[in-house]
Amino acid sequence: MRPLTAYALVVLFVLGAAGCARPEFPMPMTANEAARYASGPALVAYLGQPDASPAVCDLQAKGDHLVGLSSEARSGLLEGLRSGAVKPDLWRRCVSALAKTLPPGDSAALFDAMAVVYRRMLTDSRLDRDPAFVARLTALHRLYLDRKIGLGPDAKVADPLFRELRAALALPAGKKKLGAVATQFGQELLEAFDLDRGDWKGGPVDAAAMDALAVAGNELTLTRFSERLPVEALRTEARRRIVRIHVALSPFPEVQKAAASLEEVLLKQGHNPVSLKEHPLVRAWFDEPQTPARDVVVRQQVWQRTATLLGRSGDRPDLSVLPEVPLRGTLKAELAGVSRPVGVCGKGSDLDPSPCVAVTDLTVDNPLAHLEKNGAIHLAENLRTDQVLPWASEARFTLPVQVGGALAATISWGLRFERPDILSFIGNYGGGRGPAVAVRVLQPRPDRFRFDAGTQAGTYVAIVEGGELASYQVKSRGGEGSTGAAGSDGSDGSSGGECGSGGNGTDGGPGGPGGPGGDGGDVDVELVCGATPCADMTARLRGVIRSEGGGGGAGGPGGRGGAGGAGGSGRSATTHVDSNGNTVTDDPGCSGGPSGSSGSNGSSGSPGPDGHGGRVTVHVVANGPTGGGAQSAAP
Amino acid sequence: MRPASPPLLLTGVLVASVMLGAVGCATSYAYRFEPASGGDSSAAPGHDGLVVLDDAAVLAEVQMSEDAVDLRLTNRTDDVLQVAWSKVVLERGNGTRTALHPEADLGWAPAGATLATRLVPFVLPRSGSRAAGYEGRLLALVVPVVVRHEPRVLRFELIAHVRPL
Repeated sequence: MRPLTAYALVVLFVLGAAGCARPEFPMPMTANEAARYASGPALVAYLGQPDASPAVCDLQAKGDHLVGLSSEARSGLLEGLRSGAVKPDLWRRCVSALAKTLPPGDSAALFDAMAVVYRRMLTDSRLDRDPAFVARLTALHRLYLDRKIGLGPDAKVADPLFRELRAALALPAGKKKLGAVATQFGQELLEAFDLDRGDWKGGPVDAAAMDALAVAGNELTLTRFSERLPVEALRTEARRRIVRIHVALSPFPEVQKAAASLEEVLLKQGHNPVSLKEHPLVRAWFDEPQTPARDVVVRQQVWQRTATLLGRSGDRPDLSVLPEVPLRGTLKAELAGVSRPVGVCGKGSDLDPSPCVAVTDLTVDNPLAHLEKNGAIHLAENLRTDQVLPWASEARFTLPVQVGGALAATISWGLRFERPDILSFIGNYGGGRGPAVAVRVLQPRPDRFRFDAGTQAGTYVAIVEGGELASYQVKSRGGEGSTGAAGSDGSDGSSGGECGSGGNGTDGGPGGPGGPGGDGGDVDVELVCGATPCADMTARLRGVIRSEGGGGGAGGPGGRGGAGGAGGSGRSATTHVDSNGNTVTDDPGCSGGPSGSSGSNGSSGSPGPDGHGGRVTVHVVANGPTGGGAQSAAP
Repeated sequence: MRPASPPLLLTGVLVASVMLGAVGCATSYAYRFEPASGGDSSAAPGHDGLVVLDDAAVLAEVQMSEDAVDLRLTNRTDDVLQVAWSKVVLERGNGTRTALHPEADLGWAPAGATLATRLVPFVLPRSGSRAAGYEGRLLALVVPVVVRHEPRVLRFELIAHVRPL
């Protein structure tokens, strides 16, 4: 048993390590795929990608999103923070969206789980020496401090933790259990807890205290009041004072002049949207450093007739999902009668008095894009092929943004179609002839080709960049020849009788010949020349569209040689003692017989002959400078 | 007392050795911060880790040590100067940013007044490769402010140096 102890430890370690292995997902993973998986590891894998959007966690988002959060997904999400697999800020935005849109019970369960993790992290020594660990705790911390009224952990979970925290912070200097950073977090947390109950610095919050904070320009404390105080009227008064501070600081003279009326607008709406009828758009632009720049890569699943939009960034080698494009902070507009350029209205909680363009006045003129209510453009990622075909003629992927119905500014990204699977139409196994294929080739752009290829069963479309044409094919191919029949097995030799030899096994029979590969089907090509001369197009397509014979079938394997028969058994001698006392041999016996020899294996059959290519006929359709006509070509 | 069985003892010794080895390999480091030439700030001669921004509107000093980031800011205008305290960040030179806020809530700086605060939570790795990775790294404290009603961003840059202890 003792040696087993060390062995068991090793086995347990290996099993444990295996248990910790994360499930593998095909990456990049789109929001649609993450929502369909709906598991914790999938959500973490999605959020762990560059440019992943937290909108997948918003159950009310217009785009693809989760429909709920199971307890397994909740645990997985928390593990994603703990392990560092998801960046803390993105994690916080995801959980914030979930907390606001989940059913109340599920939202509370999420906060309960976070409270337990928070408590554990607060006493972790890494808090004083690991910036990444601090960032993770900060994410949890901000979620608690910034949560909406009515959201939060159950009192049964939270109250004991806060009692414990209060006691820990009250310990005298020499007996403190919390480090410097944990103490900072803990004190802020307790202040928020007390504010939830209307207490601040040991007493109730009143208008006089708020006025003093407003005079001092103390937005930080007033913001906490506006988010945490339990009485709506007090929260409103805190917001009113924040508005006054913001108005006092505003660079817009018109804001200073209309301070009194603006106060009510901001308390009601949270921002100061401009009427575009009264202040029409003069011009707009994107603040370049703030606007994400990507190349759109269209990944085509030709046989499924679907496509996926992915993104490439210059600073990383791998493809990822496309980012959301926030218009807040990036789109600037000059409006008639407004003293300075304005932006898109921010969150209501910002209480920003600056004139701004309401999100509802914005539209994105791209059928693959939509605008979320937070003013961020999101792109559809999982599409039908027909939805991406119009982009084959475009050099760039554009997101024209309209303000009040008028084109204002355009985001322009590079666009590339990833080389799709080869369009190979294959005959049936056993030498079936390749199907007749009709191919229509268009050149939507000088350096991009579109192949509509199909049989009677259906047509499939592939877009291929000119630079990748040399490695691309559209073809009819004969079916593979059938494999030759296996040779018959030899017979096993008979077993020898007593003292006799075993019989020899017989040889295996030869394998049969492989069947012939099928001939390629005829391919009928229609070249629709665009701006490029037809002759150039024909030259570039040489070898791309073809008909191929199927490979001959492999010869059948030879039969197995029969095994030699086993030798017969031996026999012991027998004796008796006669009347004179002599031993008399009755039977001398014999030794066992030898085994028979095994037969040889049969030879493999010969491979079948390859099929022949079919006929490729090319018709050039007059649409270019060289005129039309019909040409024929053998493969 | 029963002696430990040899395989178990062996395993224990092995695990302890690995753990001790790992701890033993983690070198501790001390930090030093050298003012960088970029940003809005300049070095304060003779003061390690201190950068100063001095113009007609504001006098700002940032003192960075391995334990703390201290900001001292004097408003030289005749109007209030507001710091967007909730938007102060430390760029760590590796693509990560840490939001910092004043140790105690602060408001604006009235005309001619000075604000001084420690910015928290500020943590640096003290040992191992993560600490060593800070050698030569450009750290930038970014402080958005509103001066005379105009938004402005104050940027203080320092280069970290680490030394094994």
